[in-house]
Amino acid sequence: MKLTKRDVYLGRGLGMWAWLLHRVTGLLLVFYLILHILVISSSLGGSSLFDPLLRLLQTPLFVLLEMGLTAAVLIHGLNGIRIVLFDLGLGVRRQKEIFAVLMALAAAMWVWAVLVAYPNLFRVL
Amino acid sequence: MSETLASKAQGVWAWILQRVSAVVLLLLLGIHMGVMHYIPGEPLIEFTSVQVRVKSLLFQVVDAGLLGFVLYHAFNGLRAVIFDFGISEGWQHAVNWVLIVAGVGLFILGISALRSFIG
Amino acid sequence: MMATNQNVTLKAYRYDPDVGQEPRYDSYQVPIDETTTVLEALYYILERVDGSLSFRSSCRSAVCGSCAMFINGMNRLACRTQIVALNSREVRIAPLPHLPVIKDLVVDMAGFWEKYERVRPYLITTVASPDKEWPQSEEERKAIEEAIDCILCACCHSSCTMSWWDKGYLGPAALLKAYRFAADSRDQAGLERLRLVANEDGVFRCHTIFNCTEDCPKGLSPTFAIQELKKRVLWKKLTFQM
Repeated sequence: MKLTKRDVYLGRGLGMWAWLLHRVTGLLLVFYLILHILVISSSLGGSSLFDPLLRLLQTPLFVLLEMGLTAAVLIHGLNGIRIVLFDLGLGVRRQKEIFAVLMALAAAMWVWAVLVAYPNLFRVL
Repeated sequence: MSETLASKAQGVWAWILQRVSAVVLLLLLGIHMGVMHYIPGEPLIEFTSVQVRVKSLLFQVVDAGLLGFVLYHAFNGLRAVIFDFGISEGWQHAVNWVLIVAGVGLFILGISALRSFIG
Repeated sequence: MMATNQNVTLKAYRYDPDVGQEPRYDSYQVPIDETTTVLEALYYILERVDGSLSFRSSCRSAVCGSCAMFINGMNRLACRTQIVALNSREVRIAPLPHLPVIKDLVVDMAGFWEKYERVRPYLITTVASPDKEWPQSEEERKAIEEAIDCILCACCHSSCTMSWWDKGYLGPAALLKAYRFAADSRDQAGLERLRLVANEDGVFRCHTIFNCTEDCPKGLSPTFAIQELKKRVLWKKLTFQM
């Protein structure tokens, strides 16, 4: 049965975007986690392997990438609170307001994190 | 009972653990990121500076706990993402085993990395 | 708001598998006033312009759930959607997304009903029925007040991202119905009702996306019902009753 040219359901509610954000950041974090464990386990080769690698990862490019990582952690973690609340039967009828508040909090925490990390941009050049 | 319903509860503990690990991670990951990256004036991360940190038993326990919880949460989350596509039961079993093996493997790798700083 | 007593362009999805043509949208000019509903506009087309247009409808008053369609980006009942309220010069109508099309705006509901049946959508009792009725207190009735209003139009089923992909997932409508009986003081299936939904084809496939709640033309929240079921499952599990 051909269904080409059929209109696509895009979803209008915040809930769909919250879910999509949660999913995308979640997948990113799984990817990072695996990478992170592999990088840190370079310590099994001693400081001669570990130190140059970690030095590279503290250069400006990677500190900037780390800010992206922090954003992903904040979005996933704070929206995660919303999901846990739902599963306890709390706030289901107030999902949009809760999402807005938590994302505002995420943005504020991210700005703080960037300010703290800013000097680190210049530590290893 | 005049009617019998099909009754197979399944995945309940997986779901409960996903939420429990989520709450634990909020705490442990908060500590982890705070200690590692967000204390102003911290030393650069090098083998020797990590060795100093890892000396504390508390750090070891927190780090090992974090590793276990985050791997469960990540891989069970990945499982949900894959299962959402409505894959067949055979594929579900295959995915389960691949994720369990990968998760346990990464846990062992992570613990041995932690031990390399202590030893 | 648009001025009343004017024409509006209605674009309807056309597809007839027997003819084998590509699906297309046909445009129609329909005169409307401030009270004209989408369903009335469709009947205008059917009776005066193009008798080959197919769509389902019956009660015309948001009770039977037959005329659910994808109207201007959202699943709605054609009979309770006033064209003026859409605030658009164009009304674009397609069959419910992600359901197989039988013809034009008519979709195949078989999958929907199959899921509905899986939750045993009727009262299950262990004792003999009383002579007159099963009495309920005001509070007991209140517990199912919302869930009982579902008209099975499939708007939620069609908007649920998880139902699109996982064809085994019970979906919002069936789970709302499951909750309606789990919360009914007269139902005696007890734990069996929860076991039926406490799995990954049931409540755990729901990721609280809320599309179902957004689109329900009766203003119900299947998400709320699903979360209530999860809460009951959690409680039974933690107290070792399940």
